[in-house]
Amino acid sequence: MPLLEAQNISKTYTMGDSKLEVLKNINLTVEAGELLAITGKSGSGKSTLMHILGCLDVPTTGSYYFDNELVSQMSPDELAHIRNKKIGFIFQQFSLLEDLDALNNVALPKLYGNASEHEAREAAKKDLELVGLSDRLHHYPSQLSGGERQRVAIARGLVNNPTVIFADEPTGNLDSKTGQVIVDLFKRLNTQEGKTVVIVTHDKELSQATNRVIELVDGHIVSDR
Amino acid sequence: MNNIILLRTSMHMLLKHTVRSSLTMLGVIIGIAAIIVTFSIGSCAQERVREQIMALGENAIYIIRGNIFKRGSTQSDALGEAWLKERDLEAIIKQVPSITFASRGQDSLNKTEYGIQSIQDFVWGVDPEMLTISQNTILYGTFFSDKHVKERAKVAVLAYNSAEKLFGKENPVGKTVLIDNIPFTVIGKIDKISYFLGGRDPNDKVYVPYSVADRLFATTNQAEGDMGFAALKVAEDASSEEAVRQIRRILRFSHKLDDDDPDDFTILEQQSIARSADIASQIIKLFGLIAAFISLIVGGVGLMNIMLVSVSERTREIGVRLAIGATQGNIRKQFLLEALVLCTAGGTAGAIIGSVLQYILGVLTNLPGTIQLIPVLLSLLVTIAIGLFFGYYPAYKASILNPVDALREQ
Repeated sequence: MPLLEAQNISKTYTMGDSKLEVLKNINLTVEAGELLAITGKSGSGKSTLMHILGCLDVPTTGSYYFDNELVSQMSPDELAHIRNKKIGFIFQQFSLLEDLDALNNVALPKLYGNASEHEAREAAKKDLELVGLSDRLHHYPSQLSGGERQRVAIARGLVNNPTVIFADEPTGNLDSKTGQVIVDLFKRLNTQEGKTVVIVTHDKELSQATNRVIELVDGHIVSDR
Repeated sequence: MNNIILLRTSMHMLLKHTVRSSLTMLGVIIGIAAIIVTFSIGSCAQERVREQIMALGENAIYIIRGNIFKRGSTQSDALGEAWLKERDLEAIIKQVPSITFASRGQDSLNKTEYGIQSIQDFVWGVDPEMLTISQNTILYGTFFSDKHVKERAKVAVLAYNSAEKLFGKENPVGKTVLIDNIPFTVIGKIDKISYFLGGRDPNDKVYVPYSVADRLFATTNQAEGDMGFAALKVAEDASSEEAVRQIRRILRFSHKLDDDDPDDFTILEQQSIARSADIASQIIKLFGLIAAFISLIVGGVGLMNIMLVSVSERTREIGVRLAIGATQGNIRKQFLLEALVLCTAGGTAGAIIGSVLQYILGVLTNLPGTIQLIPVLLSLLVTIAIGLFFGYYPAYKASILNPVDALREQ
């Protein structure tokens, strides 16, 4: 059984009278343990696809199964539950909460998963160690460099021990050297921890570091290799 | 996420944004402080009026010639030629059994002099019963007796302020004053009357025996047996309102008034004056509270306004929280708790500020400033209700945000 399975999904945005079809009849399966990239120009629908695969959004038509569960019919709270337990997100803008230090940022998904504060902090500490930031626990995002912030975000994505990691342009705001560190980290998570990693990027170099590249043009998959 | 962690999260977010938080609280602080101040001032005023009722108490009734309430009439019009008659008073005493004390009254405005000091106060010619009816206490000397009245003795009793103006703090008993250039011996000074419900200060007055005033100070148009006013006291267990009704009937009959003629006299019953004052003070308190409550509502609207701005400013934060697994309930609770924490903190600050203000006002206005627990507790409850009511909509708006749209926000 594939981990992610999209059957004929499409996504249409309605703005007043005009309809914008962002995804058109996408069929896609991803097996557990894959490291893949979704690429395409801006406006090609790659982010929308990631939002649906990542249970942040539901398709307008078609069925989407996540770990054998039909998520395309789920309520917002059921989706929140899946995101919390099984998915880790990494965004281009790091998306850390500025008012919380690194430790508390990483601990947050644990807390939303009803862990105790102690439990959450311990898990957060362990994950910050894994990304090499054990000396930055009580730094606020504004006190960290871009690369460090992204590593905090990765630690946050990992804290609930998810099945899949979705990364949206994870190196987009980083210089190439720091970006390479992040790419290596994803590779390590894939090979050593067995995480399924889906990276959305328009960066050729980044996509070549993965095992499978899916290219979108105007809401269609044009290549899958 | 359990409620305690959520509460701590809310407090943390509020403390990180102190300016926004204190601005949000400001309206609530002002509203609650206003409620506490108006409530306590209103209560104090009411307390004062109650004290005055107690002090007046005892069913005093004054009958004055002329209808002072008659519309459009100048005072001289109202007074007219309709004098009260001594025989009216006799009839009243005979026919109204509840009357225990009665005094005739003759009032005139005369110059009273002592040495180089002079005052222009009312001179009241009364009977000795007046002391009991007005419930005044004598500070020095005595009030005059029936003997003084009978012998037309030229003696005077000075009310507190009148005595002060002529003699200062000195005991005036035994001194001679000139009233309208006629020498009178002062035999008493009345203690200060602290209660009075507006109108002329009862402390500015010179009392002389009725028989003397009737002879010396009566106006030329005043016939034998005409008098300016009468003072009565009704038995404590009797209804003064009933007595007023009976007196009115007797006077209308004796003055030969037709059914549609207005009264040519005025009956002032002290208790009903006091009661009206009590009602007035209650109304003032009520309006004060309404105004204060409106300011609290405005504070609540301000809270909602800033919470709404805060939600739209923090859309990205909400998006991130939703992405990492916060449920709609988590988000709603977080923002509702923020509103509640702000309101409770604002309410507490308002209660403290209000109590301090009330204390200061109490000292300045000489009204006893007792800090009351009930309005404080009540206003805290009100703030919590305001927080829930005005905090719910922004919290609801935050919770129904679509995670994708929220994340797209920069």
